[in-house]
Amino acid sequence: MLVPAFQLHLNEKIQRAQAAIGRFDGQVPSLACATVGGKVFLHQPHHQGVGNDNQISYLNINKQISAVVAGRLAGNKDVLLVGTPSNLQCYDVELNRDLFYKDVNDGVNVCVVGPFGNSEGPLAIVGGNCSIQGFGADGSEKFWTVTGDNVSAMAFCDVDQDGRNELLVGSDDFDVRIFVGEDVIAEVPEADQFVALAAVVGSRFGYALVNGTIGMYDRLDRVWRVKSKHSVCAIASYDLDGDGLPELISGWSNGRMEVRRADTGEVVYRDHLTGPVAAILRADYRNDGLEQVVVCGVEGEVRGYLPVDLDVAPGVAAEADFTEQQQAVAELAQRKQELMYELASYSNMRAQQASKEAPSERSSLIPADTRVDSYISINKDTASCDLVLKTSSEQAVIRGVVVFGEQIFDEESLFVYPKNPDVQLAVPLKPLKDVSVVLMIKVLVGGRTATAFHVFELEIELPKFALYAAVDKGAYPEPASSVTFTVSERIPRMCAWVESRFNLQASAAGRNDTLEAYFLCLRDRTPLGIKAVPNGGSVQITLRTDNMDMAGELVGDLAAYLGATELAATADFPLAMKAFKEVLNAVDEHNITRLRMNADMADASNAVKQLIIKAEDARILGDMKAMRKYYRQLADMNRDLIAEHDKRATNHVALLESLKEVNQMIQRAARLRVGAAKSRVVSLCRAAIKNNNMAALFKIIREGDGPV
Amino acid sequence: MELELFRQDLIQTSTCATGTLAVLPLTEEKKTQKVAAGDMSGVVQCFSVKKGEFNVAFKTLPSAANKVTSLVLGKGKSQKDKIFVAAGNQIKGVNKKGKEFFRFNTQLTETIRRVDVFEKNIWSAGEYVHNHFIEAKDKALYLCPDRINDAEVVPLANPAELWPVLACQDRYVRVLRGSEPVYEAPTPAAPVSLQYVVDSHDPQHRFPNAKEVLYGTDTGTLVQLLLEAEAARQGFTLANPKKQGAVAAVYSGIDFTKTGLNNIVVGREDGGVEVLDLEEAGQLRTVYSIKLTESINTLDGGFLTGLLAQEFVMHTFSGKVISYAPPGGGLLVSNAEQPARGPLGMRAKAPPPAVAAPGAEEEERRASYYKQIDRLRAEISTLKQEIEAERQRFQMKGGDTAMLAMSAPFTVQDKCKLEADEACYVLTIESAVPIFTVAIQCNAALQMLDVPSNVAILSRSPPDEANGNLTLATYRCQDSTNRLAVKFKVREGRSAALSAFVLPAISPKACVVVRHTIRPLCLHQRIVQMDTSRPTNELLITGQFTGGDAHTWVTGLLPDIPPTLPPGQDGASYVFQNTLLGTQLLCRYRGGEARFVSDLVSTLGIIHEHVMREATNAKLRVNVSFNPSAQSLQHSVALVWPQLEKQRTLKKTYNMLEGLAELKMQDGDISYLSQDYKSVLDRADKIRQEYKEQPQHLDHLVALIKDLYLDYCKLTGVATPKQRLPALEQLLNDTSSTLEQLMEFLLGQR
Repeated sequence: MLVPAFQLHLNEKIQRAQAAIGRFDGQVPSLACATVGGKVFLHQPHHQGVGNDNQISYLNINKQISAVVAGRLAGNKDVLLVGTPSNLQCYDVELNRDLFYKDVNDGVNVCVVGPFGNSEGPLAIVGGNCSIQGFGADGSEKFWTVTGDNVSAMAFCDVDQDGRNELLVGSDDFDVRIFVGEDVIAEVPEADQFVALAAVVGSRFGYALVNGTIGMYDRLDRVWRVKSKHSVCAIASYDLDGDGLPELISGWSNGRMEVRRADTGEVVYRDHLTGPVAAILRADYRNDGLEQVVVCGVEGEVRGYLPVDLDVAPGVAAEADFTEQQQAVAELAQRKQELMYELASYSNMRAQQASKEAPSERSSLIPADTRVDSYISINKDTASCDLVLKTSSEQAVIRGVVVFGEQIFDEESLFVYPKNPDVQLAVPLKPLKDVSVVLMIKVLVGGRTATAFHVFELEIELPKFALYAAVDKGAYPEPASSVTFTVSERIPRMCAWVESRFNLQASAAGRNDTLEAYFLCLRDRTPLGIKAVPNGGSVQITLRTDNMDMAGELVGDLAAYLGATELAATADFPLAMKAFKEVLNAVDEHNITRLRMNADMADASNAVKQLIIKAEDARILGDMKAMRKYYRQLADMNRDLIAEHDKRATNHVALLESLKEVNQMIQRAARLRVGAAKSRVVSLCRAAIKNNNMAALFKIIREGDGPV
Repeated sequence: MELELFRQDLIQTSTCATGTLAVLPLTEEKKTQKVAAGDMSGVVQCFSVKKGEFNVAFKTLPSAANKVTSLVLGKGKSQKDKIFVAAGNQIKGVNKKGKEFFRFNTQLTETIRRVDVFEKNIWSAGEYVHNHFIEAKDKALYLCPDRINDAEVVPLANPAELWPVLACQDRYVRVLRGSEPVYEAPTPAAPVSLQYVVDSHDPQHRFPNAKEVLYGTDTGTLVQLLLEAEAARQGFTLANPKKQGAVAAVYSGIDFTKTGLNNIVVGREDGGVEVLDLEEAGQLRTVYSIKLTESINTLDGGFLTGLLAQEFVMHTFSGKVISYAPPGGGLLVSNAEQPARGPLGMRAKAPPPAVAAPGAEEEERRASYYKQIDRLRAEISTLKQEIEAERQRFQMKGGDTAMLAMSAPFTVQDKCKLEADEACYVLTIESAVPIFTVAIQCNAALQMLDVPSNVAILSRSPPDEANGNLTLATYRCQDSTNRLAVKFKVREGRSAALSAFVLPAISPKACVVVRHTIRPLCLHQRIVQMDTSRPTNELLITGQFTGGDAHTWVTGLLPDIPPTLPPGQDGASYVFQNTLLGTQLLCRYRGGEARFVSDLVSTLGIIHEHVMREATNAKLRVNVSFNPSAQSLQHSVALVWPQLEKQRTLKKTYNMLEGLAELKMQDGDISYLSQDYKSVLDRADKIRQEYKEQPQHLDHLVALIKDLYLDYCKLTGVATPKQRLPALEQLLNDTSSTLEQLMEFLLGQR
């Protein structure tokens, strides 16, 4: 059992994942949390005589708060960083002044503080709308890059054990990207959007997903994961059981808090808060030299846990509590029962075989040598790839199939139950994105009249680009866009890649042949052409598609397959560029509208102030008629203001959308390259946008290089 | 918890039926009591525990044909240590050494669910038939109007004349004499378990001649019934506010709390076990409770593992025999020589408190647990070796995996029950082996609901209309789960078939299918009496049909009706309540005429449709006359109104709460707020709690009134004004609208 070392109730709401503990005066710890109404409250238990009795003081942000972080950017005390959807504020709590206040157009979804990249001091790294920005202590931008989608989780972790922290970024396209500076050194696909990431120990890091999964990675390999039907709110790591290895601590929407071993995922401790968990922090909150795990609940509950001290607590274990033993007995009894079940199956079978009644029963059974074969075929009519299952015997029919697989169904599984069972069954699969997944298949097979079924368990790997049907050359108009690059490889390797990634038997090609393959993506019915021409010792590859994302996916996968670390490419996407030009225009328009509306707004709010003064004056003078008039005007004005605000909000949303588009375009352009060429594209694009040099931007996207 | 009890895992049998374990009486010698248990593999075994060692007195061989369905001890003077076992339609008598001394083939068609023996009398209860044999000759037969869930024999007339007492599904406890019921005692819910308690719980000795039976119901309540020769009196009841599972077993024979009255032990279908104490005032108090993961099929008690204290013992669905002993009792292993204990008193006397030094007992108990763990580990490793050997043999012979899978003793116990309070269904599936996945298929659209105690992950597949599957879903279980509850809402109107495929987590992998029919009027629950003050609509069907035909229609429409008409009758009458709306339905039918009366028109609409289809299929000519009542629509709406009003006010205050809380935080001083708003702030926690409990309730009620309106228009021939629906919805959601306004609206179209 885990017993909290301390327990407080602050009677203030705490927003999910928006709490931080810092030593804002350099001496004693305080807790800062975002609460309702655009406020941050500070709980300062070690301050004497500050604020009212409950040691709580408020900071008014007057905006929706999206991140609250404490960290040391410079000097010897922590600063408080408060992020909103449009800016980042760095605040010195002790001196009550802003250190910097930066507009962050992409919003602040997450923020972490620490040394990173080539920067000298620690950075405040902000993850927003497809972008990652780093700020120094003075608020200057030290770092900028893009990522695939909205950033929803970040953490520092030394994944490659080189002594320097990498930045893990979890984004809404279900990927964790591992950054060293601007370079992505690895991508780890997961099954859903991220809630949080947390470094645990060494190269291990934990993750939490929106669908209720938490798990652990060691470098790029998943060690374990568990899924719950509740949603996970926060994760952190700490060695609570005192075995020298930190555990992964998770907090859940039902108030549960779980401590799981880093190596096995086994639950070590469990506790329950009265409401959902908001955040899990690590700090010496009692200021007695011992670090605690501090768990904050949404309703303002705060609990601190100390590691179990094995030297101090032997008496606790010796208490007359047999729950553990009783549990062990119960578990063993269960195990025994399972084994007896298996044993009974064998003995029952022998008994049946011995008695000569067996044949009559045998008839309802499927033949002994029945197999279930599976393969994947493309079904152009339904625009899906079908998982086809077939039994080897006429007497055995497939009553139903349960397929488990990640990312290809709306939820985690698909159950297919045909009206008229037959020996063959096609399960239509429509992967939502291009991923290679292992499908776990349970096939229920029985005789034609059976009521009980035999379960065949199969596994099959769905190729990454399974939903691309091979078509003949010229069957579809050739896409106008293409990406071209050269790799020092040979044609047969290319053939092998096509074969392993697409559901296709490619004909063997010699070293000097030209490889040409044409596909149709069944998801959106866009054609794709792959052409590889040998060119001396290397191969020039042209991917023809109008979809930049698809091209990026292919380039990334091919580079990973070939082990290429550097790849520069020429990208010619006229259609995408035309659309992008419109996006850029839209950004300009929205920006202009925003400025104009801001000015109008300032006028209106001045008018409001005047009206209130006039109305109150009238009231004091007893001139009710005038007062009524002013208040009526005020009401009108108020209504106008609300209408204006709605317009502004709409404009703002549109602006954010467009900005996201811009970031995504940079990301798309970057993904067509690998290694240095990739980071060059990102930094050049950023520079071009800053200088508002659109011509250069298009050139960079196209050629991967160019003057700004 | 007031009482401290320690768990001991005794033995493991195969999965078992209810009522297949008995503790043999104490003998003259100073020995622990033997326990006899039967199971679904046909094995009957008898064992005792002596100084921590298990001795098996006898164990029969498994036989698939002889699944043990009832195991009792004889009630005659010389029979108290004789074991009587029912399997199929056969009854066997076995003495405590395992020697069969009696065998009787009853020739009954039903499986015997419960057998009782008193000297030359044998009583057997099947699904619907109760028989009495004397010296293996038929003496009496009673055909019960509904399913018999449990039965007992109680000496109601005199100690030598035992009368059968039946717990019946139609909510009656029936007392029989010969072939006739003497009287019927109505019960609040269907009784599922019944136990005759010799030492009755009547602290004031008010009814010295009454015999006590305790029955447990499928809604999880427990009721005391004091039976006399002429009538029954209801005593205390145990409510079930936490909505725990049905009471599957009751036992009362040990006074753990030393109050002079035996404690009552209740075992539930969801694995809950409680020890209850009856207080002076006649109130039941829980003094010990524990939650197991599988249903408790039988409870009994005695000196099982030691002679110092009595303990109760349970037989769980998967066949575990587990006992719970108080301090001083149970398995203790002492390292030192056992000090001489005083001679054992008789059973009625409580043994002297055994504990001299509490620390010593703790040590002994710990040692005993380690011993138990070691023993289990040893058994497991032996089993593993045996399985390995079997596997090798199997592979060498080129075994038949299909055959192996089909031979697996994979038993699943399941129940699909209407949860009256929430108007939804709960399908509980319990398996002897851990479940990997349960796949649900249904040809009607089901709305799957969350069950808080479930850890399984629900994953819905898109509906597949081409194959007629409107609901496809899987529940994937993690860890080791043997029980799963699937809760769903379904709309009335069409009959539907639900299948659940249970896939085990361990090999051999066989799959068991569980099927249930959801009837068109599935949300109706049987009640005893109709409220005659309500305005009603009537549907009268006349024509050339028999009472049996009408009965078939009704069984196809409504749940909880016996499959055949009560013997010798040409008609019947049943009253139902709609659990969602509280409306009622009366069905009264006989040959040639069937009358359905309800205050809700939609119900009659469903009946009409169903009966017409059935009659056409059977080529029966029927005439239908329908008599609607506008008043009944008003009445139905008025029934729902208070709830709707309450829910929408709650929603409004809840929505206001956040804003008010912010004001309070912003300003600190809220004295300027109106009294109403202040009271909202004061009740903040309560409002939040209430809202959290029923967030979708309001939408549901609004949908309901809309449906009602549409049904009414449809059945009374008013052209359905779909365009009026948005206005209706607005009216319903507007917190200032009144019932009168709504009525005006509803009837305005006429």
